[in-house]
Amino acid sequence: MSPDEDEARMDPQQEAGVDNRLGTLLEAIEGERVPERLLKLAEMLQNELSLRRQRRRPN
Amino acid sequence: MNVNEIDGQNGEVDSVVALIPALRAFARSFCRNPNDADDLVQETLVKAIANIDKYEEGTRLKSWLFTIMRNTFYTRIRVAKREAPGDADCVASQPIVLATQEWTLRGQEVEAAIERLSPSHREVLILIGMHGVSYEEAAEICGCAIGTVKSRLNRARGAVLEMLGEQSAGALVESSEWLAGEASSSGRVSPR
Repeated sequence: MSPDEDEARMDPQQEAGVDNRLGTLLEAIEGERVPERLLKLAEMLQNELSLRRQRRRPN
Repeated sequence: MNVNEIDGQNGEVDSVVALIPALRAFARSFCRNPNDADDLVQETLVKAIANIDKYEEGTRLKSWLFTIMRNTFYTRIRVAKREAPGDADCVASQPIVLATQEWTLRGQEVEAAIERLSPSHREVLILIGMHGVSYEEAAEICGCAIGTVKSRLNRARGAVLEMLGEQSAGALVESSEWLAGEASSSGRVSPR
């Protein structure tokens, strides 16, 4: 255990309150339009992952 | 092509496209400008493609991408400091603003509170509180001990609550002295 870990943990309800607020920020980003350049790269990465898995699991 | 790939030993389904919002959100914990944050996401995806052979089955794709992003960001900072120390210090000491119109409209107070956290506390709070990353994964991504992650998370949540004025005096995790000390170093990068 790290020396500074030994501290009082906050109320779980308060923890959840902070995380819920963070969740609204993520929801806001999820509602934004994704730039085309990122979509293309994401699809390229997805393809690469698929190809890699196919190579590793040949029939 | 199957868009949803089985990812990791837990059989979780992750689509890279579906991970983009999470990547953009994590990038905004590093970059003050949303366009710069998207550039960081782009660089992360390019590096992931280039290093696809290093991706280990059983590793959560999201955690792998978060790790690449974090390393990319801190490498940039180190290079910038080497090339132009004064400029880099100036950039690194600027508070990181999590600002988009939507974000600002929907969470102005939270955004301001997160902005005041130190980078090390902010990233742990974003990883675990926003993205639901486990303590173990966060420790791996941030290159520190699990105990340190727990401590930073607790402090970050406490500081956010304190800044939002929602924490009772008896439940305060951190003193205002700690908060002031952290705020004064907010945004200053200290590679671990």
